[in-house]
Amino acid sequence: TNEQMSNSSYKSLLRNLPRVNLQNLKANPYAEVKHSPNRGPHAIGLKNGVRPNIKPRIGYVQDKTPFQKRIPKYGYNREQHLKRQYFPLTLWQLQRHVDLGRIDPTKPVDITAISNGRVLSMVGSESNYYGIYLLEQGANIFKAKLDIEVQIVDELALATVEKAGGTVSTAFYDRRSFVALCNPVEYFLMGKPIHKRLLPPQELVTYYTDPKVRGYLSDPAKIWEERMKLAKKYGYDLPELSEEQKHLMVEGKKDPRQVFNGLMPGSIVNLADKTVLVPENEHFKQHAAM
Amino acid sequence: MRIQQVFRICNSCRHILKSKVIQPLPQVSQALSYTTEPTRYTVSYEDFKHVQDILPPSRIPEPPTHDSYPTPSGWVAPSEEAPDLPYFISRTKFHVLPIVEKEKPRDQPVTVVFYIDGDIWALEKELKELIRPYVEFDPATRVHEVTRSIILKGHHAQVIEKFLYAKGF
Repeated sequence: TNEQMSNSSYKSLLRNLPRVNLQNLKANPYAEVKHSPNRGPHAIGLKNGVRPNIKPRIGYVQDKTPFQKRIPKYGYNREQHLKRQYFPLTLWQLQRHVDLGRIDPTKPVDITAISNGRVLSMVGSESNYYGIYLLEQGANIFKAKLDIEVQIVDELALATVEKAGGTVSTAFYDRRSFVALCNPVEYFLMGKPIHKRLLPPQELVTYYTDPKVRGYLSDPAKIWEERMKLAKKYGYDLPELSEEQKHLMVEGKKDPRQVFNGLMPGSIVNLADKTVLVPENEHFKQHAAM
Repeated sequence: MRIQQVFRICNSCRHILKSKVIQPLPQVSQALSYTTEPTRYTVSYEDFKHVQDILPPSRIPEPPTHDSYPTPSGWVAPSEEAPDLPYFISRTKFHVLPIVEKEKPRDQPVTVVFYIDGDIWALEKELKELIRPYVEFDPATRVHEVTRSIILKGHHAQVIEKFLYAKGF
């Protein structure tokens, strides 16, 4: 209580209580707490012309828990090192570069074609970019007939490309293969044998085996069905594909373990002599068997 | 004698050793034959065609001739003869009109038209009248003769592009 007790009541309390200990005792709330003045060797912010090893550590706040300890931790940035990013590519950009002659519609459009035509600069970026994301912006004006290979596709972008008479496919490239494809000259100049492309990680296998997204690991027969379903959904007539395009879809241009089209893993490219060195030993052939 | 005593095998061990047949270790050279073999390779000229398809061009390609302009993306080729006007605006090296929209500090939208030859002030007068319906107050423009450019307040790239395409630049 706030009232002060008399001496006799203290004595009676002591007699009645079973034992006096710290749990029974309470600090005097009216006592003056002496704070040590901010002077001396550990004083903060008062030392001019003094060597820094006398001052306290960075972040030290006298008599208080520091700010960085007061705020609790929360996993806002957990798993950031495992996340993947993709470069956005709109249909309008593709159409503009076809009009200007920087992308050849007669050849397949993949990461190297987009990098060579300077549509996107994918060099010198952070280490978590894994490819290209085809976006639907510009679907109302898109008219080019292209065979595109990207990493992720929007549904409307798929429909517009197929309506114009082209084909789309999505394929996975690991970080090393992606960098090699963005700048193949730099990769060949290293003089190392071509590596094998990795298969997608567990969380992406369902994406790349899905015919709705024209994944490179999916069944070509199901892709054929999905094309017709998409045409019905968006209400356009499916144009007929040429023989080359059909061959592309059924047998596929590239093996899932191949980085460059037509070049086997294990071979070395000689840019100076304009040749390719293909190894003949058994174990190299087994490695390249894919 | 002493050595024989130290290395004397006890009776049980001798029995175990007699029953087991110690097999010789496998030859190491058989397992790692590929390190001793020299790598044989063939030099192929045909496979280099696949590399040539991938090599990047060293020059900016010329845009192809289209049947009708504007193209689906809205691009128009420049006219072959220069239009009969007091000023001239040349294209950039990427064959595109020299108009740029940017954001100056503190959220100031700005449009820049550059590569202007001839009477810049005549073009500035025309652009001012072009932008007037899209601007709340008097259109703000600035002529920079050293860099051959006109700077306009606000984002007006689409309107200016249409205007310049119509003139034949």
